[in-house]
Amino acid sequence: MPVGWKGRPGGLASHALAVAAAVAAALLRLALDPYFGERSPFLLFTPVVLAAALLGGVGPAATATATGLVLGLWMFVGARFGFSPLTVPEVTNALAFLAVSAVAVALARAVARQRTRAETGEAGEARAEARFQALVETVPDHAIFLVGPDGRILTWNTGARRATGYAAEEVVGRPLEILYPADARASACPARALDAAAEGGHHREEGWRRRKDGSLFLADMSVTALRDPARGGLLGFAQVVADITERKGVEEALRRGERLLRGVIDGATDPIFAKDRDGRLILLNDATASALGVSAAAAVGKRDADFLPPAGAAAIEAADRRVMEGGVPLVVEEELPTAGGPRTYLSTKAPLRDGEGRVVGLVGVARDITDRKRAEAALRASEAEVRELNRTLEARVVERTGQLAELNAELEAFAHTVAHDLRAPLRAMSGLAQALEEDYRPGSTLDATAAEYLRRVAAAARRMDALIVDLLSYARLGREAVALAPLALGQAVSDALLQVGGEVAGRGARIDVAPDMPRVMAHRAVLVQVVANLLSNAVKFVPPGRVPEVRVRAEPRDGGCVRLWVRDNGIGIPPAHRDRVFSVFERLHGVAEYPGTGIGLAIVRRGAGRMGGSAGVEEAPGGGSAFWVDLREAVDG
Amino acid sequence: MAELGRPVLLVEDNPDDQLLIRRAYARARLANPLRLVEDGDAAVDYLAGVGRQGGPGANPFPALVLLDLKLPRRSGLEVLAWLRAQEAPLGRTPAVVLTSSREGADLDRAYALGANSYLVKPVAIDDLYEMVRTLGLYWMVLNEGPGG
Repeated sequence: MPVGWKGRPGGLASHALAVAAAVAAALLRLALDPYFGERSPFLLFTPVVLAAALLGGVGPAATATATGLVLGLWMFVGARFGFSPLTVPEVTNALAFLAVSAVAVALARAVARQRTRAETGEAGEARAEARFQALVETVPDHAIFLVGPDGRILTWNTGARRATGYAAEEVVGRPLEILYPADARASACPARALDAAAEGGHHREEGWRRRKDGSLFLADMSVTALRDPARGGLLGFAQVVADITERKGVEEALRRGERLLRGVIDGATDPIFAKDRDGRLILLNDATASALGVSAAAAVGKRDADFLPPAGAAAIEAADRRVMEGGVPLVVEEELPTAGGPRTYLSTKAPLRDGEGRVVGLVGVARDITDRKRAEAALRASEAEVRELNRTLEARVVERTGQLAELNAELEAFAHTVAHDLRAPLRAMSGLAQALEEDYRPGSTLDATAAEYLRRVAAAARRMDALIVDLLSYARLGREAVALAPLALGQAVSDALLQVGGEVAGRGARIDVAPDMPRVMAHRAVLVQVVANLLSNAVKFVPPGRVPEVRVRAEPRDGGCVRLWVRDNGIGIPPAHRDRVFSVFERLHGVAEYPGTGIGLAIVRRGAGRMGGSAGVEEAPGGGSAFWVDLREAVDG
Repeated sequence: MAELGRPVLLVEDNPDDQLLIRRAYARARLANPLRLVEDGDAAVDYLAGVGRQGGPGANPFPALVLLDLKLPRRSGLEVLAWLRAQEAPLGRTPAVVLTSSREGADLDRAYALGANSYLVKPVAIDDLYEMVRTLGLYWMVLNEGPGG
């Protein structure tokens, strides 16, 4: 606004000034009259009108025009200083002046309107900025501030102070870098962010920022480049920064929990899953996905019916409903068809509840028990097989027993035949040979050689008979039932001594039997036979010329046993042969040297065994053999 | 004391045993005649004919039956069973089993059927003689029979 033009535009002063200017212009025209003459009576008023219009507005412009018109007509048109009728050129001049003045007024109005508009615009902008500043100022949780194109901070709000600890006066005018930790500064992070915003108009990043006290916070930063709307020049940047350290912590904790959950369920080899109330999978591990034959990502949100045939899916959904409606866990066997054939799962399902305890779905763990089921089935099958075998076994046992009984009967018949028919010819041979010898004594018709032959025939027959008798005894011991009863050992020894009395007397043997022998569990006939064989054995195997001496003793043994000792002073048995002598037909000496059937000791061992005992031989003190038989002591006392 | 005229009935099929027993019997000089039958049926026939008064087939009452067990047609045990099933006095005739068998089963059955004694035929001829002599002495001299 021009300095000399005081006062409000359009005011009274403006009008006076317009009049004065017009008078001044008239005086100047008057002074120049010699130069102008009659021409251009209004020429100098036009600049006055124009100036009034520009400086004072429409009002002063009109005043200046009117004054100029009056003074021009009065002083310069027709008669000087008097009004006269106008000629055509004079009217044209007046109209031209008016027209130029009108244009000047219109121009002035346009300029004034323009100026007014500019003035009110500036004021609104300032108000809007103030309001915006107030708004920005009151945002407490976001740091909002402007940065100059050179990277220096221009403004600072409350949120920025709270986030960083810096007051406005501490940061305004300083470079943005003071908000960054040292390592970020070193790698030119702040500049890069601004460059990115300058280039793309906007830039957003998360990163660590540094507070005034040196502590760090995680910032979600948004940078917008500010450009001159007309020329496009870079004016600076607006930054909005939020402290998301805490939010990040919560998110991180959530992610950790999620990772833990995934780790746990994916680490499990059993399928683990969760479904919502509609049966849609909301969580599943890899094992579940592979059991369903899909990928875990594809299965989320799907129902069993999307994977399984209708019947199977319906069964599973029915179980799920029971869990969710009943609100109690359930263990159920479920079958899933897979590429490798159906597999059986033992599924444990429990209701899944929200914070208020409402059932919102279910969680389940399933164990593949297909192999176990197969093993059980195989076991059942084999059990059935065993039962079948047992059943048939009984039949087979009956059959075998029958066969054995038959065989036994045959054996008995055989023994019977041997006893009768085989011995009869022997008796004939022996008897007739003896009869021949007796009836035809030597000296009559038979000579000594013939008599000797006859004796040998008879002896051979007797030996064979003894063999048959012993064999039958031995066989009988294995075949016939042996019932045990308490009986006096001493009595059995006496009975045995009577049986072998002839042999004992024939050899001049001395038998010493200890008194007070205990009672034992035995079968009388078998025990007597056993002892008789031992005694016969004891007196037989004695070197020629030595008197057989036999000592019979009994002693208690551990475990309720009684040991009967039969010690002799005979030839003894080398240790290597001590077991062999108890076998059938085992002979250590020739028949001529020590006659016998070779069955006697076998009868001893088998007889002792049939009575629940045993028999053996040791070396007797001072040479000879010490045979023993162990028997159970009688329980009747 | 048994009547002197009553025979000893020997039931024996083996000719060798018949010969040796006859010889021993003769040497033992027993007064009672020895009457021989060779199988079980013949033994039963003889015993069934005992006491038929006046008939030509009447058999003398035996003082003793010497019975082998293994016989043709009818075994010694069957003969014994038949004999013991007869009425007294025939049913009570002393019967001595004279056999080769020492089998316990044979012994048991013989005694169960009412044998008075059970002897095993000895191999040595002296022993046989001794047995027959003792038999005669015991059953025909010492023993008082059931009578009849």
